[in-house]
Amino acid sequence: MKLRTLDLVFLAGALLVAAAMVLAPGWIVDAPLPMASGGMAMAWTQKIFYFHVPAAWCTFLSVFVCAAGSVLHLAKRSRGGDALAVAAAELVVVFGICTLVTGPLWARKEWGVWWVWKDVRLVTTLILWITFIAYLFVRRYGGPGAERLASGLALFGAVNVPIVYISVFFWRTQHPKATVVAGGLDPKMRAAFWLSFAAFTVLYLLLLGVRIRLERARHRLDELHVAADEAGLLDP
Amino acid sequence: MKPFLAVLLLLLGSVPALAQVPGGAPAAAANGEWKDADLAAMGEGGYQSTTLVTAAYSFIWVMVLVFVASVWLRSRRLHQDLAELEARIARGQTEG
Amino acid sequence: MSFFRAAFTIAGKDLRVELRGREVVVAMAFFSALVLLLFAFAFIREGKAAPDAAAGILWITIALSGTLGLSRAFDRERESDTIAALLLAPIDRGAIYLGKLVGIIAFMALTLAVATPLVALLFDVPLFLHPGPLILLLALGTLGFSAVGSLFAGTLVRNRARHVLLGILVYPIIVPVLIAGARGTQALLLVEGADFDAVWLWAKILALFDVAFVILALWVFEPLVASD
Repeated sequence: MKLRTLDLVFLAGALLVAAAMVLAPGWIVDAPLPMASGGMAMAWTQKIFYFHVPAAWCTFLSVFVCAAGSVLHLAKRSRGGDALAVAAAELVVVFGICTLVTGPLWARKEWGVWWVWKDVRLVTTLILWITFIAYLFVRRYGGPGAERLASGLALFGAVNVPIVYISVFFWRTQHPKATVVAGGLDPKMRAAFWLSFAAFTVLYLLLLGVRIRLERARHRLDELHVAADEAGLLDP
Repeated sequence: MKPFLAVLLLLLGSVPALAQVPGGAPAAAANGEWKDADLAAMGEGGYQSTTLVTAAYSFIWVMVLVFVASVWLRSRRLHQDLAELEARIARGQTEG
Repeated sequence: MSFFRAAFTIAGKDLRVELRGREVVVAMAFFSALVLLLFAFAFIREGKAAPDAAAGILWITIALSGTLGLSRAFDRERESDTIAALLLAPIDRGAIYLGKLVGIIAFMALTLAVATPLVALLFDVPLFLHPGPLILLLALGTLGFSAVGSLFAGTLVRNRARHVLLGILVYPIIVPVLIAGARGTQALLLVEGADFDAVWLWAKILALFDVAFVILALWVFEPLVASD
C-alpha cells in the first residue's frame, strides 16, 4: 500500500499523541494538588480532572462538529457532510461515556456520591449522550431516509447545549466552574493540563479522520455497486 | 488504511501500558511530592484514590481501543465487500 | 396562497376532521387519565401522594399522551397518502409544518384540560391556586413539545419503524423542556407558598427553548421531508 500525504499526517498525529501520553502522566503526577475550600489539599483523585475535562471538551466539540456536518448534509445534500456527522456522532458517544464515567469516579471522593441529579452539567452531558445514542440507533434502524432524520436529531441536540448552559446561571451547580482552568492554577498544573488537553484534541481529530475515511470508503463502494449494477456488469 | 490502523492500535495499546507502570521513569521523580497528600486522602471513604484514578485512566483507554478496534473490523468487512463486488463483476463479464 | 393562510387552512382541516370523529383527542385524554392512574398506583403510599411528585407526573403525562396523539394524527395523513399530496401542493413547506403544529397544540390543549384537574384531584395538590402562571407554563411547554414532535412525526409518516422511532427521536430532545416545566410547576406548588421568581425564570427558559425549536424546525422541515 502506497503511503499518501494524508497517511503521513495521520502517522505524525499518532506519534504526537503517543509522545504526549508518555509525558503527560509524569507531568500530571508532578503537578501539585489544589486547595479545597476547607483549606486542605484535595484528594489525589483530583488527578482525574486532567483527563475528565479534556474528554468533556472533546465530547462537546464533537457535538458541534456533528451539527456542522448535519447542516452541510441537510442544506447541500453533501455526503461528505454526512460522513463527518456520523464520525463525530460516534465520537460523542465514545468521549461522552469517558466523561460520564470519570466524573463520578472523582465525585465519589470529593462529594461522597457517584452522581448528583441536581447538577445541570451532569444532567446535560447525560441527555446529550443519550441523544447521540439515539442518533446512532436511528441511523442503524431508521430505514431509508434515516440519515436525514438523524441529522435533524443532531441539530436539535446541539441547540439544546447552549440553552441549557444559559440556564446554568439560574440553576445552581455543584460542579466546579470552568474558571478553574482559565487562571489561578499552579504553573505545573497548567502545563500538565494543557498537555493532556492537546493530546486529547489531537487524538480526537485522529479518530475523527479515521472514521471519516471509513465512511467515505463505504460511500465509494456503494457508488461502485450501483454503477456496476447499472452497467449490467454484475452476475444475476 | 489497514496497516495504518494496525500501527495506531499498537501505539495506543502500548503507551498506556508503559505509562501505567507505577513509578515508571517520569513518575518516579515526583513520587515524594504526591505521596503525602495521597496518604492523607486515602484514609477517608472506602475507595482508594489511586484505584479511582487508575480506573478512570484505564477506562478512557479501553473505550478508545474499543473504538479503534471497531473501525478496524468495519474496514476489514468493507474490504471483503469490495473483493466480493470485484468477483461478481468478473463473473458477470465472463458470463455476459 | 400566503404562508399563514396556508398554515391556517391546514390547521382548520385537521380540526374539522377531528371534530367529526373526535378520535385523537378522546384517545389522548383517556390515555393520559390511564397514565395518571398508573402513576397514582405507583406513587401513593399510605393514602398520600409523594409531595413533589405531582409536577413531574403531570409533565411526563403530557409527553406520553402527546406522543400518542402525534402518532395518530400523522397516521391519518398516511392512510390515503394525503401527506404526499400536501407536500406536492404549491405552498411553503414551512406552512405545512406550522399548520400541523397548530393542530397538535389544539389537541394537546384539550387533553390538558382533562389531565391537569385529574392531577390536582389524584395527587391532592393545589394546582389551580394560581391558574395564570400554570397556564403560561403549560402553554410554553406544550409548544416546545409539539414543535419537536410535529417535525419528527411529519418526517416519519412514510417510515415503517415510525412508532418506535418517534419516541426515540423526540424524548431525548424534549427532556430539558420537561425538566424546566416540572421545575416551574414545582415552584408553584411549594408548601410555603408559590415562588413566582422561580416560576418566571423557568417560563423564560421554556420560551427560549420554544423559540429555538420552532425556528430550527421551520428550517429543517423542508430538507427532512424532501424525497430524493
